[in-house]
Amino acid sequence: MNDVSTEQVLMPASTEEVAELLRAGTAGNSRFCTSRVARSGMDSATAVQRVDLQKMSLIVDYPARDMTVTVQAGMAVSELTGILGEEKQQLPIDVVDSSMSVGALVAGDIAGPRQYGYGTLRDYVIGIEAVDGQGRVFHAGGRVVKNVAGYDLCRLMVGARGSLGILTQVTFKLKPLPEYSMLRSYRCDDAAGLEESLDGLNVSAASPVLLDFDFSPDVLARQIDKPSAAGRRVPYAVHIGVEGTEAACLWQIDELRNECAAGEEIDAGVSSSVDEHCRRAEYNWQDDVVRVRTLPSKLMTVASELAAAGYASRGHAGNGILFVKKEDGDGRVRAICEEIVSRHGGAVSEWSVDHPASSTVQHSVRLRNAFDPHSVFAT
Amino acid sequence: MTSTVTDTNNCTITADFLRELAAIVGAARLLDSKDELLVYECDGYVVEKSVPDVVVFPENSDEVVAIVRVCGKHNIPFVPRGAGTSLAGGCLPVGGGVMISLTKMRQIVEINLRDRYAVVEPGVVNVNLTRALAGTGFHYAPDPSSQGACTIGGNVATNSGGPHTLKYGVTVNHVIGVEFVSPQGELVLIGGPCGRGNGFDLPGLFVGSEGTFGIVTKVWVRITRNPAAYRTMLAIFDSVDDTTQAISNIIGAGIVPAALEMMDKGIVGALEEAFHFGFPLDAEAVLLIEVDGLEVAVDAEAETITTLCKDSGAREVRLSQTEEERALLWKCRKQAFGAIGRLSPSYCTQDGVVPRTKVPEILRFIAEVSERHDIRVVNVFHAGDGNLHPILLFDERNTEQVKRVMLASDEILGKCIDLGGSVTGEHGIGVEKISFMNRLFTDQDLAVMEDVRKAFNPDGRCSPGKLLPTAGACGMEHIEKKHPGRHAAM
Amino acid sequence: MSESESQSNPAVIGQTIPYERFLDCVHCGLCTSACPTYVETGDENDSPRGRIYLMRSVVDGRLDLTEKVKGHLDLCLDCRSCETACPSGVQYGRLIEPFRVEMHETSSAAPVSGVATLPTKKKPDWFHRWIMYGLFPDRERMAWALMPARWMQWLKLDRLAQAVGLTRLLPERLRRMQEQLPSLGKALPPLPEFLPAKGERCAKVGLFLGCVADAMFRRTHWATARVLQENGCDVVIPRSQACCGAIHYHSGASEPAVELIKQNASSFDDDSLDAIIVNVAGCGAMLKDYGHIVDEIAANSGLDPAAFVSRVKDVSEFLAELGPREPVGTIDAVVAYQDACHLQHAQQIREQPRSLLSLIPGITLQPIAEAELCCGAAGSYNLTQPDMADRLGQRKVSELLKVRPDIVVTGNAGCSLQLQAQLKKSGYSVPVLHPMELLDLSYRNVPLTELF
Ligand SMILES: Cc1cc2nc3c(=O)[nH]c(=O)nc-3n(C[C@H](O)[C@H](O)[C@H](O)COP(=O)(O)OP(=O)(O)OC[C@H]3O[C@@H](n4cnc5c(N)ncnc54)[C@H](O)[C@@H]3O)c2cc1C
Ligand SMILES: Cc1cc2nc3c(=O)[nH]c(=O)nc-3n(C[C@H](O)[C@H](O)[C@H](O)COP(=O)(O)OP(=O)(O)OC[C@H]3O[C@@H](n4cnc5c(N)ncnc54)[C@H](O)[C@@H]3O)c2cc1C
Ligand code: SF4
Ligand code: SF4
Repeated sequence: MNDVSTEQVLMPASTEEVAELLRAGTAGNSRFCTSRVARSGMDSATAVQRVDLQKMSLIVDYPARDMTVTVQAGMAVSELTGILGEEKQQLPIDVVDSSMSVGALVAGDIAGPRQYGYGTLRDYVIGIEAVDGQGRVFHAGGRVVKNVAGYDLCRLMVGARGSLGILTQVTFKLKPLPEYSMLRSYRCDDAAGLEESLDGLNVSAASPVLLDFDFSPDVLARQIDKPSAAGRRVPYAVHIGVEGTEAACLWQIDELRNECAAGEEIDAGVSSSVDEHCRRAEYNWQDDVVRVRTLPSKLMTVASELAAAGYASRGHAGNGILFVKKEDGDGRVRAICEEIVSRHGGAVSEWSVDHPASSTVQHSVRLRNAFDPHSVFAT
Repeated sequence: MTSTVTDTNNCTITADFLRELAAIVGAARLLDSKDELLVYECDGYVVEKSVPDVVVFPENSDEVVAIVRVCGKHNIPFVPRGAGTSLAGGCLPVGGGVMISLTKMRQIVEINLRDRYAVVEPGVVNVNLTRALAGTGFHYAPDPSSQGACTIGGNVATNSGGPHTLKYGVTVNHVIGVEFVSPQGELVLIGGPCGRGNGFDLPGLFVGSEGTFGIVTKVWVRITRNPAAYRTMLAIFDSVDDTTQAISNIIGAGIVPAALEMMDKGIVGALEEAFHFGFPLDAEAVLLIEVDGLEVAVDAEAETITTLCKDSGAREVRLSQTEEERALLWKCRKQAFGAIGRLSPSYCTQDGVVPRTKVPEILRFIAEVSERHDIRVVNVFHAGDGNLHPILLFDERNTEQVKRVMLASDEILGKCIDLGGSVTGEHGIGVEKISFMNRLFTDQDLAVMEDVRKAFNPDGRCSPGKLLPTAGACGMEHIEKKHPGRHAAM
Repeated sequence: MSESESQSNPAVIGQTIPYERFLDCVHCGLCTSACPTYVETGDENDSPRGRIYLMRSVVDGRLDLTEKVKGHLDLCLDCRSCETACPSGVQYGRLIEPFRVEMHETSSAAPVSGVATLPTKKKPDWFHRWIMYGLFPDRERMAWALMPARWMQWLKLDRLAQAVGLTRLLPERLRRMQEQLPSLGKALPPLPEFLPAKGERCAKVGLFLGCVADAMFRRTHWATARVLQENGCDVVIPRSQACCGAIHYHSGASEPAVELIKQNASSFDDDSLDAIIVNVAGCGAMLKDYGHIVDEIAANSGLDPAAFVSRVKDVSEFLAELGPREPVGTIDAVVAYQDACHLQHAQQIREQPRSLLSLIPGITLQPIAEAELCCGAAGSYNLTQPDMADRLGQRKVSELLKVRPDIVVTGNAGCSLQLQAQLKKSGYSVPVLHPMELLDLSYRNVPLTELF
C-alpha cells in the first residue's frame, strides 16, 4: 500500500478548524482523507489532502464514577487505554495496533476476539461530535448512558470509515477492568470434535469473553503457521477466555473443561493470556485476510468447505467469523468464499475493497449524498 | 379532561382511495366510520389528540407495501401503530390520514437457539417472545415495564429500555436486522442474522427512529442466555442523599448490577398499601438492586453491594430469601405507577436522564422545585442509568395547579439538560417533547437529522410531526399543549 | 333485532355510573394484551382500554351509541382478565356491567329535533324470554328440559340427528345449546339437605348448587360434597336456594336478579355456617359481588347481603385455607388445568386448585400457554357471540393439546361445556373434569374409569 499522495497534512486543532477547512474545501473543490494509508482503488485524480487530528487528542471529560469518557478523536487508543487503566476501567475493544486514533477506531468499527463477550463499538459509543462534508458540525447522543432523543447518528458513524464526516469527539460508555482473566486452548482430534465442543460451549453456564478457533488440517499446515511453530502445530483448536474474579474464572475454566471433553488442553505458548491473545494479529481482521461472516451453526461447514478448497481458517467461533488468508495474487479466495457463502448464508469482506462508501445499498447511497453531497471525503 | 384535539385534518380521503385500500385488506380489516376511529385518536399520551381517517390492519408485508403505495399515489400521510403504549404521542396521526395497525402481524417466525436470534413480526408482544423461549435457557433481554403489552415493532421504533437494560443494554443492542416498508413503498431489508454486511449500520440508525423511516414488518433480535443465578436486595435508607451516594458508590466501584432502581418514600408508602410487601414506611428511600451471573460470583457481589450501601448510611439491606419474595419485589417495582392512583387523582411522569453521578443533584433540585411550586413529586426510577421518572401529582380539575405542574416539569427537564443529560431516556420524543429538541440540539444538528430523515422519508408523509421540530407538513403548529399527561408510566 | 336499530340518547346511557370509575383509567394500554377479544381481532375497539374509551365517549356525549359501538361492547366476554392486568386498579366489570345493563334495558326513539325522549324498556326477545330467563335459572325446569336430550344421547340418537343434519333445522342458538351439551350420563339423585362430616368435625358449610350446574353437573356436586365430608365438614344444602342471578343481571334483567339475591341471602341466613361453598366459578364470582350489585341496581331496597357475601368461598379456596387431608388413591395422568376467568380474574384464585390437584398421587400438572385467556365460554356468551366463542375455544384447545393431557380440569361449569364441545369439534375426546371430581376419586381410592 502506498502513502496517500498528499500535498500537505492538515492538522486542525479544534472542531471549528476542521469545519472551516471542510467548508473551504467544498468551495475550493478539494478532497480530504482521514486515513493514514491509502486504499487500493482510491482514485487519485484530485489531489487529496490528509487530515490528521493529532492536535486534537485531549480528554474532554472523564467523570470516572459515571463510567463514561469524552475524548477528542485524535487521541491514540494506547493513550486512552492508559488513562482508563488508572481508574481500573476499560473500553473493551481489542486492537492490534494501539497507535491508531480513537477516531479511526470508531470509524473503522474495529473489533477483536472479545466481541463475543463484550459486543462491539456500536454498544459503547454513546455520543459523537463530527463535521460533515458541508462543514456542518453536528452532535448526536450525549454523555448519558441512556438517551433516545433524536436520530441515533452515533451508530451511523461507527464503521462509516470517514465517508460521512470527520469525527472530532466521541463519548464512550466504559466497563470495569476485570480483576482476573484466564485463557485456555484445547486441541480437537478432528473437525467433528471441534464442532461438538462448540455446540457444547453454546449452552454452557460459563460466559466466556472470547471463543476463537483454528481450523487447519495438516495438509494446510504451512499456510497458517510460521515454520518455527511447526512443533506445536494444532490443526483443530478452540481458545476460550474468561474474565472476572479469580474464583469466577477458575470455576468457569473448570466448567468449560468438562464441556470441551472432546478437546485436550494444550499449552498455547505465546498467547497464554487473554490480553496477548486479543492483540495477536492472527486473531484480528488484517490486511490480506478475507473475512467471512456466517451463522455460528454454519461455521464448521464453511470451514470444512474452505479446507477442501485448500484454505485454512481461524476466527471468532462464537460470532460466526472466519478469517482466510488471501493467496498471493490471483484473488481466487474471495470468489471461493463468496461461492460458499451463497450456499450457507453470510457475507464476505476485505478491508481495502469493501468500504461502506462503496455500498450500493439504496439507503447507504442516499445517506452518503446527504452527508457528503460534494464528495469531499476521499475514501 | 382538557386536551387538544387537532382539527387541522388537511388530507382528502376520496371514495376511490378507500376502495383501493379495501381491495388490499378487505372491508373487515379496515375502519373508516367515526364511531370506530375515535379510540385511535391517542395512545398512552392523552394530552394531544387527532383522529385518523382510516385504520387498516395488514396481515403481511405485501399488504403493507400495497397500502403504502396507495397512500403515495393519493398523497395521504400514514402512521404505524403497535400496542399504542407510547408515552410521547408517537402514534398520533398528525393531520389525519391512514393509521397502519400492526396488531395482526404477530407471528414469531423463527427461533434459532444455536445462533442466538429470533425473527418476529412487529406486532409480537414483547413478553410473548420471552414466554415462547421459556424452558430453553434463553430470553429476550429488553424488558420495558410495559412489556406485557407493547410490541417489538414499537420497541424498535422507540428504542425501549427497562430495568435490566443497565447491564444488558437497550433495544438497539439487541436488534440485528430489520425488514421495513419504505415510505416509497419498497420492501427493504437491512442487516440480518449475519450482521450488517459491508454498508453502514442501518439497523442501528433505524432503531429509535420513532416510525419516521417506514413501517417495520420483521425484526431479527438477539436472544440472551438466562443468568445462572441472581441475588435481589432491598436497601433501606433514612435520607435521600445517602441513597444517591450509595448509587454512585456502587457504580463507581465498578460493579454493574443487572438492575439498580430507586423508590422514594411517597412511592414506597403507596406500594405498601397496594401490595403489603413489608416496606418500612419511615424510610426516606429504598434501592432495589439485583446482581446476576455465575453462582460463584453473585454472592461476593451481593456482599460488596451490601457493604457499600451500609457504608453510605443504609439502615438495613435485605436479601430476598425466596423466589416468591423476589417476584413480589419486582411486581411492586413494575406496577409502581398503578399504585400512584392511591396518592392522587392525576399525575404526570417525566423521563429525564442525567449522568449517574448527578443523581443527587437532580433529586435535590426536584425537591426544591416541588416545594417552590407546591406540587408533590414522588420518584421511582432507573437509578443505575441516571434515568429519572419524577411523578408530579396533581388534580386535573385544578387548572391553576395544572399550570404549576407544567412549569415544574419544564424546569426539571431543563435542569437535566443543564447537567449534561437528556429529556428522554426511553419514552422517545414523539410529539410530546418536540419543543425540547431545540434546547438539546443545535440548528446544525437538527439540519443534519432532517437530512437523514429525508434520506428515508423524503416527503414527510410517514409519521409527520414526530421527533423533529421541522418534520412533516401538516398540523403541528396548531397543537398547543394545555395540559400535562396522566401517565401510568415508567 | 330491529328495536336496537334506533339511536339511543347519548345523554342517558351510562349516567348512573360514577364518573370517577372512568377516570381511574389512565389510558396506558397495559391491559390490551390480556384481553381475549383484542388478542383475536387486534382492534383497539375490542380492547378494554378501547371499550372504556367508547363508554366514556358515549357518556361524554362525544359519541353516539351506534350499532358498531354496541357491537364492540357486546363482544366483551366480561372475563375481567383486564382487571388482573391493570396496574391502576380500574374496576372494569363495574363499568361494562351496568353500562350493558342500561344498553339492553333502554331503547329510545331517535331524538326528535333535539328533544330527548325518556328511555323505554325494550321487550326481551324470545330467546331471552323463554330460554335465558325461563329455563336456565330454574333448577327443576332445567332438569326436565334435559330429559329428552339425556335420552337422545343415551340412545345415541343425537349423533344420528347430527349426522343426518337434523339438528341444523333447529334455530341457531338452540343448535349451539345442543352442541354444548356434555355427555349427560345417567341422572343422579338430587343432593339431600344434609350430609355429615367424616372423622373429626372441623367446620359446617353450606353448599350452593346453582341452576345449570345442578342439572348438568350433579356429579360434580356429589363429588364436592363428599370431598367436604372427607375433610371434616358438615354440609348443609338448603332446598330454597336459587340461581345466582348472573344471567339475568348480565343481560340487563335487574328485577329478577334482585329477587334471586334476596332468595339466596335468606336461604343461607344461618349464623352457624362457617362458609358458603361454591364449586362453579361463575356463580361464586356473582355471589361475592352481590354487595356491589345491590348498590348498583337496588340501592334503596334495604337489602344488605354483606353477611352472606363474607361467607362465600370457592371450594378450592376454602379447602386450601382449611388445610386439606391427604388424598390416597393414585391417578396416573397428565393434567392440563384451565383457569376459569371467574376464578382467576374475578376471584383471583389461581394457586389453590393447582395445589389441591398436586396433592393427588400420580398426577402431573402441565402448565399451558396463554393461561390467562378466556376459553370463550363466558356464560351465555357462547350462545350470543358464537363466532368469537368458537375462535377463542379453538385457540384454547390448541394450547391445551400442546401438552398432550390425559385430562383437562377446570373449575367452572360453563368452561367445562365449552371445552368439551370445542375438543369434540377438533376431534379429540379428552375428558374435562372438575378438580373436585378428581379429588373425590382419590379420596375414595377408586379408578378414573368409574367416571366413564
Ligand atoms: C481489516 C483491516 C485491514 C487493514 N489493512 C491494512 C493495510 O492494507 N495496510 C496497512 O498499512 N494497514 C492496514 N490495516 C491497519 C490499519 O490501517 C491501521 O492499523 C488501523 O486500522 C487504522 O489506524 P489508523 O489510525 O492509521 O487509521 P486510519 O487508517 O487512518 O483510519 C481508519 C479508518 O478510519 C477513518 N478515520 C480515521 N480517523 C477518522 C476520524 N477522525 N473521523 C472519521 N473517520 C476517521 C479513516 O478514513 C479510515 O477509513 C488494516 C486494518 C484492518 C482492521
Ligand atoms: C405503563 C407504561 C410503562 C412503560 N415503561 C416503559 C419502559 O420501561 N421503557 C420504555 O422504553 N418504554 C416504556 N413505556 C413506553 C412504551 O411502552 C414503549 O415506547 C413501547 O416501545 C411502545 O410500544 P408499542 O407497541 O405500544 O408502540 P406504539 O405506542 O404503538 O408506538 C410507538 C411508536 O412506534 C411507532 N411504531 C409502532 N409500530 C411500528 C412499526 N411496526 N414500524 C415502525 N414504527 C412503529 C409508532 O408510530 C410510534 O411512533 C411504557 C409505557 C407505559 C404505558
Ligand atoms: S384499564 Fe387499566 S391497564 Fe387498561 S388502559 Fe386503563 S389504566 Fe391502563
Ligand atoms: S372483560 Fe375480558 S373481554 Fe372484556 S374487555 Fe376485559 S379482558 Fe376484554
